[in-house]
Amino acid sequence: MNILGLSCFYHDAAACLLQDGKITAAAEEERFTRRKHDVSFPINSAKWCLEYAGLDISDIDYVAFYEKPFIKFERMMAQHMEMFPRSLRIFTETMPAWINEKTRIHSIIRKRLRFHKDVFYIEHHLAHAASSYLVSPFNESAILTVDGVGEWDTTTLGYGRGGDIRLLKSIQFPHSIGLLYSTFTAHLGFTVNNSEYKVMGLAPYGRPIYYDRFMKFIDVKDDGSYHLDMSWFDYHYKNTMPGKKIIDEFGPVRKPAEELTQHHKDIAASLQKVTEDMLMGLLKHLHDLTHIDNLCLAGGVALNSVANGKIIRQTPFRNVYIQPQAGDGGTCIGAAAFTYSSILGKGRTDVMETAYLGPLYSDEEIREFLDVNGVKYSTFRDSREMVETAAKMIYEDSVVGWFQGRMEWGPRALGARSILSNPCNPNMQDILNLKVKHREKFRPFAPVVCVEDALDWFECDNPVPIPTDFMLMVYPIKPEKRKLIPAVTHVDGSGRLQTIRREHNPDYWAVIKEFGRLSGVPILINTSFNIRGEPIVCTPYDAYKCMMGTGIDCLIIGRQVVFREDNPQDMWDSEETATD
Amino acid sequence: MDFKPRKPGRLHHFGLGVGYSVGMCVFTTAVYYVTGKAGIHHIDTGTYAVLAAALLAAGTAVSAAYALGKKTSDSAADFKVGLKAGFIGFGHGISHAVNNVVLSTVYFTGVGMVSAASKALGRRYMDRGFRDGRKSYYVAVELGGGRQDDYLRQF
Repeated sequence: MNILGLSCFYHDAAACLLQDGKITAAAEEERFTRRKHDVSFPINSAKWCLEYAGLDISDIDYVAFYEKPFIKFERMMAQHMEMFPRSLRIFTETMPAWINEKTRIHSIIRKRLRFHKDVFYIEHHLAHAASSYLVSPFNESAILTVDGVGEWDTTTLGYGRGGDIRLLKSIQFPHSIGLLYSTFTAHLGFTVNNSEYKVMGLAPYGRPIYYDRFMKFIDVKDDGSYHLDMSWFDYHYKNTMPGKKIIDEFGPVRKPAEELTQHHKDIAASLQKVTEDMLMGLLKHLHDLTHIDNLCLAGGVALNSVANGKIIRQTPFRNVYIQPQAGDGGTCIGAAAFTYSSILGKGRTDVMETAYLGPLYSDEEIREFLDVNGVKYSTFRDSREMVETAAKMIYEDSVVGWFQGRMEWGPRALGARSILSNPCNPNMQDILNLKVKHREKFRPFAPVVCVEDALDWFECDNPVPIPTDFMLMVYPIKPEKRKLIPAVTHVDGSGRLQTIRREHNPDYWAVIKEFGRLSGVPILINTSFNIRGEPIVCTPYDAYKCMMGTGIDCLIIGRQVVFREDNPQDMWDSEETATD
Repeated sequence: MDFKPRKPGRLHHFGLGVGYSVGMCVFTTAVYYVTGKAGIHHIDTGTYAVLAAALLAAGTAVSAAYALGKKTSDSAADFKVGLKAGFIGFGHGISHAVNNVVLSTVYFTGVGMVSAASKALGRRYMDRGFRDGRKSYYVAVELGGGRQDDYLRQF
């Protein structure tokens, strides 16, 4: 049985293919169109999923969509009724998309995919819940979903048992932790639905001295439920999110080019603390409600890895699972898995242990690309030589582009489309920023460590939770180790680590081990292989282009290595066109 | 391989301006035809043709002047690309303007009237309650466990 899952028209369009209960292919549309957070119908992802599995659209039994569009439309109309006449502008701006796309999804699926069988529409938060629980290793689990907004729900609590999901309680729009976080992301001068993680990275530089000010407009009950005082916000009737009261209380909205002051950092710290406290309150109530020690978390807020890293220490839950694409893109997996497990009653889907579900390029395809385009390269004799060369180059402070195997599913580079470098060099953060990433100085780089070494270096939960494999947990670095890995130690001594298991990516694992043998530190810097403002690379073309537009020293692509110095070095400068 | 992003040159910009001008002429011709049929105006075809030609000539002249100010030169193919982009750009602009007029009318008549009536009857569409004495803000929901037909619906 083949089910195609789709999510689109809000943010992060994506498609996945579920074959007999196993997710065999999944990719975000942005990787193909090269438009970050592309929301358009995921025709390229869907076509690639079919191509990868050698299927035709006629082989697909069902399509599953990640929300019920007309309930969402009802919510939007309710917003306009409630906020008339202040919502005029947003009405005229958003209505064409509703008329042309969002309420016509059925005909769009028929027309674009030429699919004429049944399409299932799964409620947004149910799709979120399913995207985590049904691919988790737990037979029984409590489930919390938290995001900006789905149809009406912004937060739901429930449980999964034997493949069956029940969501019991919700907080509804306009009250939303996700939108609260986005409001202050906008207030701090970052882009909404893109740069929330920057606020999270900024928070450790500040102190949560504005916590009480936040609580003026947030009411949290003993059971963790919450409401926001909407007179402080504008997002329910305007495109600009912070309201006048927020500006009066916290100062004017920061312009993107403006310097980040201590005041901004304190706002970020306070917001992060408020968010964590609200999440922990919800989780404690969820545990009281379900009495289950396993937790599945989903929704955009589940990408807040700082909060995730505190769950096991601060709540009664003992095990946590979060899917690599916990945001809206991941709901296509939830929709497909829910269709298979619950609607069709076929039982549990397979556990998602790795994020390597995207496009794969064989060595023949890579060599053909390099040959056709006259790129100078050499080929390794075997993987041992490749691993030793990569580790040696990193040890010598080179910046290495690492393009191996199937592309990652989700927003994080996890060793398939990564840039690797030396975490022991205290200047490496500056080198990476100067050569490649050009990102804000306050943002730390992430460490990757083999799972068996993680407890030696990080104060992580034991056993190391699966979401750590997906870079979804931040843990403190052991105090005595911090000076050894300055390039990945954040200002508060934490690190957003990725753990890697040998069986999931043997070459990547071996490079880390080899680097450990050379340096005594079995950790690397792992950052996403992309140009600022662009999605992570997908194809050999994207990888080569990225390398030649930045200062990456060499590209290890399959069994081939391309050195920057061997090829024309003034091809282009990625910074000339970069936008955030 | 050339990765350098190409900056549009003179011919592209000239094409863009001509495309806009052509789009405007097509649009005004359509308006002329429809309003003429409806008896709203009595401008004869010859006069209109002169006016349209003048409009096109003015648009072309302005485009040429603007394009000459650009430093980079490009090929005839770029003119074609610019022409198409200009034509499409004008289409988007005009549809945006028409949408705004139509949707504003719908907003004030449809949404406005229903909203006013509902508010008069005390009906609320969103729970904006805050510190209003409730012990809990949770809403009971029952998601999951539906029948197959429930999920075939878009609502």
